[in-house]
Amino acid sequence: MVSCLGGCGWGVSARFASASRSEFWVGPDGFKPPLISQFAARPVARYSRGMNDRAKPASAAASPTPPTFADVESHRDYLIRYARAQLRDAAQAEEVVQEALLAALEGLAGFSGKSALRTWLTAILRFKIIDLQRELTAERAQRLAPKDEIESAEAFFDDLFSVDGHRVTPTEAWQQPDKALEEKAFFAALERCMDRLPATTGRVFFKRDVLGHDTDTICKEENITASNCWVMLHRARLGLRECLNQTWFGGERG
Amino acid sequence: MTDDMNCKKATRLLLEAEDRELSVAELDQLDYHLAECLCCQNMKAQFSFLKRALDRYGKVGPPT
Repeated sequence: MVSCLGGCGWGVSARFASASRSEFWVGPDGFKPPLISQFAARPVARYSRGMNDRAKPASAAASPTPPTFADVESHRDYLIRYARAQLRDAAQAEEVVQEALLAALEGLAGFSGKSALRTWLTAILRFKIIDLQRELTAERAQRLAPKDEIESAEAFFDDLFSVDGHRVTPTEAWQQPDKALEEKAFFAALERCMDRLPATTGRVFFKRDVLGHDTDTICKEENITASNCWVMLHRARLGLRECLNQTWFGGERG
Repeated sequence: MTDDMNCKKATRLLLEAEDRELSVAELDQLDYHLAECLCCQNMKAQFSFLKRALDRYGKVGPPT
């Protein structure tokens, strides 16, 4: 468990598992060569004693000894408090701190010791928080998009009918549709028609009508209400019918 | 009752029938309308064809 210099490929969890009882932490495989030799050359126990810069922040520069895994870990609680204050979500805070600590450990060689370890770790965490906040904003923006899709789906349905509820263009029969099922080109046309659907509508439709997933599950996955799910499905089926009518079955006649 | 039915409502019912079981009253209304509306008969046949096509696309894939 201790000697990983030979290349035992540490996973994330292994790294953290060893972090909690890290008296013998040697350094993960793939560390910068000079550091590896440094680690290898010195007695392991030497790195276990608290190089905690909370006690002596300025002396980090004076001592070239790189911070240990335990040193980094010792700031976890502080970092979590910091992240929580920014994100106001405990789970997200834990996650982002975990990421920041991983990044810090991977880049430990880049820690010059000019600033306090905590300051350096906080800077990494801040970047991770900004990344996460950006992601969350993008997600939120995406979630608004289906609203537009719902509106246009309703309009699409309405446009096919006159005010008194009759078809604007009569629905003509398709000639020998089952023959199409034997043609590769028909499925290519089908794919093109599916590609034309709005993003969320297309996804919902694909999961439901192609993969046969159940509607409740799909709604939850897409974070939309059941009725909106239906509106999208109806829009997709009607759209596909219209599209194939025009591109494969010869267009509306009459 | 059945006077309320038109192509738009019939189409809606045809679409909903794929995701939920229609009530007896709805089925009656739909059947009554379909009996006299060629447009909606075609629509119904086309939806059921699409269902077959998509099912095949998902399970077997296009013919090679």
